[in-house]
Amino acid sequence: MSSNETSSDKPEEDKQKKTDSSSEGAGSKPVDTPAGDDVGEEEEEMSEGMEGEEMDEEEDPNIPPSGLQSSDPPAPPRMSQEVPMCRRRRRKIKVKSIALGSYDEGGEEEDDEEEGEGEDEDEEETLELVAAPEIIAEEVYEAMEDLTYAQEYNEYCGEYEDGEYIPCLKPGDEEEGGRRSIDKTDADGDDDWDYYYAPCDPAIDGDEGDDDEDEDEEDDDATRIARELEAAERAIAEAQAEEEGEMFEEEEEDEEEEDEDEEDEEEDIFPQEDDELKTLFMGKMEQEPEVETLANIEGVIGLTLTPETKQFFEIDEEEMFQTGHHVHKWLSWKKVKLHIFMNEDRSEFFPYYDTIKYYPDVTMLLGSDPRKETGHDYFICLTVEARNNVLNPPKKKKVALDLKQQQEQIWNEMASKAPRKWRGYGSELEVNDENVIDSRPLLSVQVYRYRQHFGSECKFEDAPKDSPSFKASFKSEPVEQYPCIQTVEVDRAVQVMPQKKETSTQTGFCFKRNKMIQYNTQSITENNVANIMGSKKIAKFFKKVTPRLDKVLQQNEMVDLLHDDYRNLKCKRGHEMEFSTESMLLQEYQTYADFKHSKGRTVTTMMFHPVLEDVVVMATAVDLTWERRIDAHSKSLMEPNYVLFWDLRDSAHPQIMLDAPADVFSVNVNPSDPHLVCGGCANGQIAFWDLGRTYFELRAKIQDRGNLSAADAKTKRPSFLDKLKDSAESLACPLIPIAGLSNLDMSHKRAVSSVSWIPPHIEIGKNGMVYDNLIGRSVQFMSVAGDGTLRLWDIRPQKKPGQAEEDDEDLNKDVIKVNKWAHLENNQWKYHFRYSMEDNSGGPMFATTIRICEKRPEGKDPKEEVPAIQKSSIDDDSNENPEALDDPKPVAPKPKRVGALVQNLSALTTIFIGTEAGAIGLVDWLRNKEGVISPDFGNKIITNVYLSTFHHGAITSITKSPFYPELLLVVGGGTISIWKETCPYPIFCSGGFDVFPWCAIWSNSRPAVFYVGNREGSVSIWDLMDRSNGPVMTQPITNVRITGIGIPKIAASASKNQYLAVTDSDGVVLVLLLPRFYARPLPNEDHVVRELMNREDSRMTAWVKEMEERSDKIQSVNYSWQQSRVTKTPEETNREEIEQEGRLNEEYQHFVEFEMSIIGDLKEGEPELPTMDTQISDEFDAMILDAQRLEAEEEGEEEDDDSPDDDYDDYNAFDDDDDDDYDQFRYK
Amino acid sequence: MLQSNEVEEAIKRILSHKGVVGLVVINHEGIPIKSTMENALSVQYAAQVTQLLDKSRSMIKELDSNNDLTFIRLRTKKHEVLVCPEKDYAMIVIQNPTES
Repeated sequence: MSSNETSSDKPEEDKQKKTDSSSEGAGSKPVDTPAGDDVGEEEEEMSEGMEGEEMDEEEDPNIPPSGLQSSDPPAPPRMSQEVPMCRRRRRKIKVKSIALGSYDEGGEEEDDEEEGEGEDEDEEETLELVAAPEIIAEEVYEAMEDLTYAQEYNEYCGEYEDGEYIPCLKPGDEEEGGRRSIDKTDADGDDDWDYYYAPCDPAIDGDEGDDDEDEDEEDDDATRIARELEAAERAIAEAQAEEEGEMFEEEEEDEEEEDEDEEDEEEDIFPQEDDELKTLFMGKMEQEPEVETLANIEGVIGLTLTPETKQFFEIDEEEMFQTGHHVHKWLSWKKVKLHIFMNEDRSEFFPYYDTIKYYPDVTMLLGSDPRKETGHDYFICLTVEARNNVLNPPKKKKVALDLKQQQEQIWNEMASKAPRKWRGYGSELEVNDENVIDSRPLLSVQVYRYRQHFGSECKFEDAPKDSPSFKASFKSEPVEQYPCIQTVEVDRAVQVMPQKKETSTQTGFCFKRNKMIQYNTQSITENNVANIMGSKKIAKFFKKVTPRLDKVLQQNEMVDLLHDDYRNLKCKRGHEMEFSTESMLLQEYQTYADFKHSKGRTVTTMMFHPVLEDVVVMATAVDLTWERRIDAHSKSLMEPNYVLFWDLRDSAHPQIMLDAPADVFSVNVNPSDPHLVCGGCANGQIAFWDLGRTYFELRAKIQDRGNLSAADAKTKRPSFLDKLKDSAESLACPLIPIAGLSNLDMSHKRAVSSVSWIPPHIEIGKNGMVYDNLIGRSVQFMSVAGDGTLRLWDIRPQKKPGQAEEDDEDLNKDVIKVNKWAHLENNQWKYHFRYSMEDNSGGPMFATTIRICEKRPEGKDPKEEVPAIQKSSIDDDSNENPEALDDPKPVAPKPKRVGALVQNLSALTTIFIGTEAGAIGLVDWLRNKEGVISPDFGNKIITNVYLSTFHHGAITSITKSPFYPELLLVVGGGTISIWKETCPYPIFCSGGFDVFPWCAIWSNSRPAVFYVGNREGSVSIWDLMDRSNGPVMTQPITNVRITGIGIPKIAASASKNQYLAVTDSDGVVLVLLLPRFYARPLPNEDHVVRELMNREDSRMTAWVKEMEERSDKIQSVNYSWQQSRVTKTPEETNREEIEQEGRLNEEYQHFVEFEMSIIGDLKEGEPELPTMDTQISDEFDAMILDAQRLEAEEEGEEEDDDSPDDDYDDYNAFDDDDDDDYDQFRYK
Repeated sequence: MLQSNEVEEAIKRILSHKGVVGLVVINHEGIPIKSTMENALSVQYAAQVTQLLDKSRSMIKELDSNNDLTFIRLRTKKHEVLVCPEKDYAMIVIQNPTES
């Protein structure tokens, strides 16, 4: 039904009409007359309906006394649609529906009145009667909707509180639509029509509970309210039935009053029922304590003041009662109290003293009460709330009742109220106008189809053009053309839109100005600070705070919570993690390579100049294997060979080049005469150079540079010419010719693998004796080669008698003498001394490296030591001082010289030799096995103190620790080991690596660190403090092999940086900057390393000792065994055995006899065995006892002797005899 | 005064910890009372830390009204700010924990 939408604008008109009719009274009648018949009919029908209603009421007895059943709650719309039977009694239903509506008692009552009074009703009342149902119906409809919703909700949620939806029953303003539809149904008697409309107004149909209560029962819950109301209504109706007349009159009077009352007119505009509701509500509210009456306010007390009191409080009575309203006056609370104290029980306030005593404010309110609402002239507010209420009376007090209760009350009250009569204001005419009345009987058209055609296929076919069906066209023509069709109903809708407003404002213009605010920091004056600092409070504060802070601060000190452990890690090659911090990596510092002379050649030796720290000496050789070398021999002969001197400050050019006859495999600079250089060549020859003047130039240059840098480089900036000169000089690299070359026949048979100068304080005689070196210079050097020999070379001329003194003077004083080394030239140079090195089994030792033991008396520096020895020897030879100096040749030592034979420097006669086979030998050429130095052994005394094969490949490097001279770092065969001089076993040895260590050197700054150059071109750093199972770090340096490693002492750089020099097989010397971490020893490091070494040493010695002991034991055992084998005499050893055997045999015999006897017995009694006579059992018992005893004895004997024979015999016996019997006997 | 001496000693002790850069004692208004740093910096610290304190205290109180703030540690790139609030005063200590 569309009335909901369409009628939104109509109510106002309707109301207008109503007011008109109500105000005009009779004037409305003419309007009504045209529809008068209808109304009459309506009334009649209505009265009929009422009869029906009454009948319903009469039927009540059939219904349970609760009345709930009989009530017909509004049914949901669908229900009404389903039930067409209501059509018949449309009118009645309608009324009933009205009666059922929200204020339906009214309807009912009206009906009753009509019933009762019949013709007495005047037109107006009838109209009213009509009008009220309209409104009610509308509301009912709404209520129905709500209830329907509620029911659905109920179905959905399973519970429904009846109070909940009642508030939705607001007075609707859609009477028009509702009434229209209702009237439509009312007006026509035609069933079809009704039926047609029925769904449109579900409320109506749903209300015909009289006819179909059973349906309504279904909706009990949802419509409980309605039913309750109806029940109430019924009760009330009965109660009021007697007073009908009076009620009616009263009603009338009321209405008339309302009509007259202009003020109420507005309210009258509203539907009257609504009005009633409203008044009910208002009444409800009015019943609540209202502020207007002072008596209702709690805490307001009426008083009658005596004149004295008025005077006391200075109350002007006239003023107070000037106006008719309350006049307020403030009283001081104290004054009131004072009044009480003064007058005690005479005071008007005395009765309320208890309340006044606790009055929270300082002023109290006193007011005049001219209307005597409190029954007195004055009132006083005893509480602040009361005061506030009086001063600001709340307009409306909210009804505090809960909604349900409230509703119930309202409903109850409503139920007790008599409704007003319906007054028609002309709306019913409109209703009638809209009624559709059939002017003729409706046509009925029957369209049918044979049942047999049901579901059959349709046959469509093309119709011919002329076919009439084709021509038929359906034009839409305006309805006006058909006069028979009347426009009865037009749906129009008006929608209320919010008003649109367009406004604009403009703010006033003002100039912009830059402004700023400056803040001043708040501070406390010194005095205050002092006060605060001195206060107990702050002391307390500190006491509380400091422990917490201390804790946190200590935490921070101890643990860096947020330390990023992985900060130094970076991802490299996928998932491999490596330390990448600069500080932990080797950085390339400088590269030294000469493209002409060293590029492409492998660096065989690199050594740092013993005096000039910035100078590195580098020997190169063709990087070829032995076979290839032989192949390329002719070619390599043609190539010049040089030993290069580099200045670490000048990476561009070598400083000095030494011309070499062949590839130099090893080179060494004389530590005492640093201009002398010896070298070993690939062909086994020994080369010797004297740098002479060039050396001094170089030294001067370096020293100058040092001075320059030390003074100030800026002030002494070299001029351009100087620079040019310098560069020219540096470019002109002096080439030093070879000064001496050994006789090829006297030379090594294989490439010289190592040369080493004899320390300056000793010299070695022809016979291998060691003497103090009186000149304090190194004049001899050793060389080793793969031919198994060690040769000692002396650079001094082979003295012929009477010639020595001059030569020596030459050597000492005139170093720059031309052709000083003539005696070394022309194949004249022969070795001074030669040893054939043999290993323990007599085979040759093919030495690869050599390291001379420079052990000295402890606590003395070599530099101090040399002069001391010199001095002592000088002292010894005091009378022969010059001669001693002049006679360094120990070929025929004088007796005194013999006295100078170094007895205490025992280790000086030893050298460490690494061999190609991977053995480390401590070779002594003076000591015999017992360690006694006997000078008489002569040339053949060389012997190995120990020779230990530990490495599985050629030893490539032996280096001494600068911190612990007894520690040797040995690399060979892919492993690294640390040796102690005194111990024939390595005290530490590494495992194998994925890299091949080639050379190693101890760090000269940290005792626990050594650097290892690997064949693969990487450098490993070992830190024994960190770990001893592998390198701390391995860093690739070059693409080629690393052949040597060393630590340059770049002291002049004055920086704390540590450097590491590495040579590779491409002729390059790389100087790397070491991480600073390795520059400074860790605290306690020295101690730790010493401890470690000692521990390892003791471990190794213990192990070795144990091994030795074990082997000794084995040997001794073997020996003793052999001895015993041989010496064991039968009389001693065998006697016991024989005795034992005899005893055993005896026992065995006993046993066998015993057993045999048992077995014999058993065999005799065998057939009777199954019966098991008592006799036999007795025998058995005895036997068993015997056997047990014997067994026990046996066991005891077995324990004692533990002779296997017994068991064996036992077994035999067991085997021999009858098994079953034996078993039986034995185990019974 | 006795208390003053105690306070001074406490301050000294705190300052003696490794890496402690400075110490500021502020009152509840955020005014520095005692500071070992230069004035401008301590005023800055006082002002900023007061705000932080209020905020964090309110946060703690909101979460659990029975709870109270006792310490704030702010770790920064350069150092760590330790704030130890009490009812009337708060102490700020700036520490450089990595300093060695």
